[in-house]
Amino acid sequence: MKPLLEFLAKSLVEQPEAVSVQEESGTDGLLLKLKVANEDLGRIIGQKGQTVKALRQLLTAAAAKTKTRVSLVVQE
Amino acid sequence: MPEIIREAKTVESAIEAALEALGCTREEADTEIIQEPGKGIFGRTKMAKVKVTCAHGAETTSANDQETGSGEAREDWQENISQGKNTLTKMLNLMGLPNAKIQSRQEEDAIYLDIHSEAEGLLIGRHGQTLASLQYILNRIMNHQHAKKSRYIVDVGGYRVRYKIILEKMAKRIAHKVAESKEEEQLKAMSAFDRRIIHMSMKDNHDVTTYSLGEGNFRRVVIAPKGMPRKSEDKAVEIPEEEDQGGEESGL
Repeated sequence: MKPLLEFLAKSLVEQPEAVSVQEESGTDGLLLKLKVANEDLGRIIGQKGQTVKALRQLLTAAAAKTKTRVSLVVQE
Repeated sequence: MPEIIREAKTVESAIEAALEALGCTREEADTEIIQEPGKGIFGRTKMAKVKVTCAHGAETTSANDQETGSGEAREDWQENISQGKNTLTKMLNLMGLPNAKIQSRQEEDAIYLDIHSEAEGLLIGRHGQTLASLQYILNRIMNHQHAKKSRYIVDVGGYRVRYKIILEKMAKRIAHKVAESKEEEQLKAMSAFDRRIIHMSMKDNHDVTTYSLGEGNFRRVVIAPKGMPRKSEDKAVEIPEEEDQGGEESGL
């Protein structure tokens, strides 16, 4: 899950070197914490959250393959 | 000897993209930096530009690309097709679907990428949501990373094509009903893309017209008999429209 998010996030931002993903196993499946450069927040979130919504959708689909649940938090 | 010019945010990623498109390794290739990246005017980023020449001469595109374009534009298309394919393949690999095959085709103003995989249902998702996300993210990535833009349509096993036919059939059936009963009918809420398919399919129909009602996720198509005034909203006050009365009333 982490490599997928890393690849997608790095492909979307201006500063791929500032992208980092932390993986935690929460009570409700896997929790992914994504950090990007401040200037890139908009690129990750997208208009009305459209991009982050699509990212969550893809992560959920990938997680379904291994019968797990996943949630994504974008950190400031 | 095939050579290719690529632009990207950094020299490194431009070279990587070029190598990927050429299908050769760094050892086999000659790279030449045409333009270093940097801050351009008005804080716009200047892209890195590199020329990569491949010594062993691999093909730029794989065999199952069906080409239809012509002339110089075709090269751009071919580049965009192979780049889109590469990125989508990478996404699918990382999603745990390494066996997915992608077929590409050039459409009028878009590149159509059809994924063939055992995990069709997973890739389509409920109401095609996962498929929509795949397409959206791929377009975001491609438009962000590459200077020459094109639009990508992502499909899974011809789902979009099948779905379009289903929508058109349904619209036709309801249009028929509406034409007979002279009573308008609302369809279920749909995405802009789907609503467009219905509007387009009814464009030349002589008996009915279509319009949309509602906001955001609840927006839906209404199929109405021709010549009937529109409902502007659910509980809309009927605004009298040029009935055969002499003086026209100004609706509010």
